[in-house]
Amino acid sequence: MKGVDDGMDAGGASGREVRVENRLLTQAVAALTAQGCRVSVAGSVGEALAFVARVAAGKRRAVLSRGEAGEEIGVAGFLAGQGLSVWRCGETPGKTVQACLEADLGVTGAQAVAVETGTIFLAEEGGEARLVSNLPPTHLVVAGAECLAPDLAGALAMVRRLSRDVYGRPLVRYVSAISGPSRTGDIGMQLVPGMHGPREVAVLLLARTCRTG
Amino acid sequence: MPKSVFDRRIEAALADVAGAAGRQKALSLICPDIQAARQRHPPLSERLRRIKAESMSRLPELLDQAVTALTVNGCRVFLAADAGAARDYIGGVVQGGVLVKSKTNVGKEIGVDGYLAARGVTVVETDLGDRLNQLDHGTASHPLAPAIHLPLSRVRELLARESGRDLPEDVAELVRAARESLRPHLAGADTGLTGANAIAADTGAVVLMENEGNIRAVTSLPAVHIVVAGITKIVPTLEDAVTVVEAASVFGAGQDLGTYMSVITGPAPEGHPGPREVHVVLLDNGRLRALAGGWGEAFYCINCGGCLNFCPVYRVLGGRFGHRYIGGIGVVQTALTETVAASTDAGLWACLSCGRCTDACPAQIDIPELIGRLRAGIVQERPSIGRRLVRGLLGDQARLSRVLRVVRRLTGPLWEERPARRALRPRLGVSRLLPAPRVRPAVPSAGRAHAVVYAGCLTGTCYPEVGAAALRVLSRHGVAAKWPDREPCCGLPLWNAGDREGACALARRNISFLTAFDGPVLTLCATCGDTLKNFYPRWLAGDPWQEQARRLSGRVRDLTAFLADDLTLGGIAGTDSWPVAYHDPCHLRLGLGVTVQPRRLLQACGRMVETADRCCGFGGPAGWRHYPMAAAVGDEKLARVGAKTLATACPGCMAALTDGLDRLGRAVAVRHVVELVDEAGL
Repeated sequence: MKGVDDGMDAGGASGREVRVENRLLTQAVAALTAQGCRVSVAGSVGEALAFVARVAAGKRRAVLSRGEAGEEIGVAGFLAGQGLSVWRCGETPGKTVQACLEADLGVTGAQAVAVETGTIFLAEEGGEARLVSNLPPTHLVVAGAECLAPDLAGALAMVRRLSRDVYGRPLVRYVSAISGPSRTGDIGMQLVPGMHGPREVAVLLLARTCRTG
Repeated sequence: MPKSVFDRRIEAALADVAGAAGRQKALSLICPDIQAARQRHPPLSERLRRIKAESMSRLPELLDQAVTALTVNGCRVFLAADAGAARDYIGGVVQGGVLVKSKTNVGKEIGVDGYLAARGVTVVETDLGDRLNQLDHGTASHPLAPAIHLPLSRVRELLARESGRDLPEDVAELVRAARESLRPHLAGADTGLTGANAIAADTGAVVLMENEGNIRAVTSLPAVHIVVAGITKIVPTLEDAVTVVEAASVFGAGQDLGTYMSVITGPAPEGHPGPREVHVVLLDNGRLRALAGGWGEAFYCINCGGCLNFCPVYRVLGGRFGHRYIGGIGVVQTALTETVAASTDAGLWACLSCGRCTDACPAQIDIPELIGRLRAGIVQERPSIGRRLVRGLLGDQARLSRVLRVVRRLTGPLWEERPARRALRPRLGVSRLLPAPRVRPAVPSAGRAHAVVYAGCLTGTCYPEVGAAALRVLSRHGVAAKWPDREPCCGLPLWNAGDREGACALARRNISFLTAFDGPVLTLCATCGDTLKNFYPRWLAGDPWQEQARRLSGRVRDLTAFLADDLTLGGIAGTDSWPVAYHDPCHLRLGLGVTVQPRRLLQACGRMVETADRCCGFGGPAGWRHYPMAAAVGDEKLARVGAKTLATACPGCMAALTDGLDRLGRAVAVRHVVELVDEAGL
């Protein structure tokens, strides 16, 4: 998880910060679950990878968005070890779209999560995360607890800060705010997940202890 | 007289049974969700209204700022003066091939589908409902559920044909088939076309909201992305744009936030997937002129469709009320971006002024007022002889009463309360909703009155027994009230018919007439009450009479509220258990905010039963001009009324409900609440 609160490392967290994080984590789990996401909070790398394994079970091809998606816990290598063919965006730019169309699992990070609404924010310059999070039928988000914001305004402020600090611009090129799986009610008003986007969104929240553990 | 374009549309709408059934189903599911979501977001509407008001007042400056920011971001911006210029520009960008498209109202405004198809471009809708309608060669029945009118069997047939294989009648399977058949179109398309929910001037960001993910695919897969949006979609900041989509989610769909919000600032950088070109077509098409002419509020609209769900006219006519933009606000936008004649064809005279749209609108747009202004513009250009005659009649109730009674004597059989006879009344130039005029009974007048009863024209001329009952109840409780017989009409019928000058003249007459009496002004008619209390100060804004209008407003009380609150009548359940249904007059519930008092009174008279929250169909000139539509509105109201007595607190509602019950052949007595209070001896 890059860019948002880089200055704060896990070892230096005060007791108050840990309490705030824990409260936000609890709320985030409730809100994301209410949006229809599959959610897990991992306190260690082992726990995190166990969740990744459950989400990836039965999948054959994974695409990972450019950058740090799950890098610190080694998601790419782990998925490859599970027998999936793994495509990392940026390797051969011309083939990214095809890879995303063929994949059954897309993995991205998150730059912010609005806890109140259970909304995941992907902010990027390249546009790969848009494809990775929309074309495969399952989307796995690996997000650090430091990107939790209480509400939409807070998440937007994080995106603004990231745009300014990392890219030196008022706003990064693409922002995607995702609240649960793709859905449609267009046939008889019966809500069905997975119209054009993923029918399954899994969110792995990494607690601070993942960094130290 | 030949039928007008809009009357033919009414005929077609009332004959479209499948469309109506789909719409009813969609509305019954959406409305409760929206009501619940609104409760969770109380400050959102105020915030949105402030943002849109600021945006419209600063639009030329924001437009410059947005164009600069979008250009810096690498977008190609085209300012289209009118629909033709927008089409030509898009035609220059799209030379052929496949264009995938998401919902866009401006696309409809400029007729982009037909234009591109004629140029050999394959246009593919990607929203599932829109796609189903495209395959069915049909039109959207509701903005949120465009294909709700298609039965499952038909959806199966369409998708089976499209995907070339047999499919079960299973919604999840059909959705999967639709996804699979649309994916190749999306992956292979040359161009993606979208609208915009909002454009942020500070960052040059296009903000889009959706649930399916089709917009995300349309904006990320083809090499060219075209955005078409009205210039009035521009707001100052990204945060403001997010408020717009939040409001659209809550008020339009009953969601806290749509599943996907996409913020796009420009084309993909070198070496990355995504559109190489992003074109932003900003359409004026009369908007700047409209803003300069004081019509800015019409463009506070964020196209969420929330107003439609609660509009009684939309409920019965669907998308045939409006033109490219639907509903009352659509009629207004048609007038401003096309012509007033086009807005007449779209239903300018259909609005019942019930106010449900304003209540449902996240930007609180006073749509009935905007429609009224358009009507006034038309009426002002017509010869004034007829107007003067009507103004004269309405200026003095005693005179009006005499004239109506003469008319009745000359045309006796027409006034028998039978549907066939009612149907003849329009030949006299009066509404078939108008009850037979009656002589007002002599009522003992209070010597020193300390309240004045403002009964209204309809009570005075057609329902005098209601006024008499009111005086008896008041006198039982020691309130000496005066019911004058020469009061002028409140003026609302003129206002709604477009004669604003005449309505204001009546307002001034009423103000000076009522100043001669002491104490509260007790209204028996919800419409008169709303007019005297709320409309006069607005009608007379900037007029020397405005201050007096405000003073009068402070004295106006709805009679049921006065009886329940000041005289503390009702409240204790009576011993009678006979059911009495209650109809909320729109002007009483939404205008005056009086809801609990008439219920408390009725509970003491019998067993109060609720009815569906619908308009009776009386409002505005629709009952005169478009009776079949007003009747359909009334039918909806009456569909599930089971009690043998139906009470209300407005003679206009009484007239429409009585007509409706006659039409339906139902033996239900329509009574004013105060009549029942009188009979119960309260």
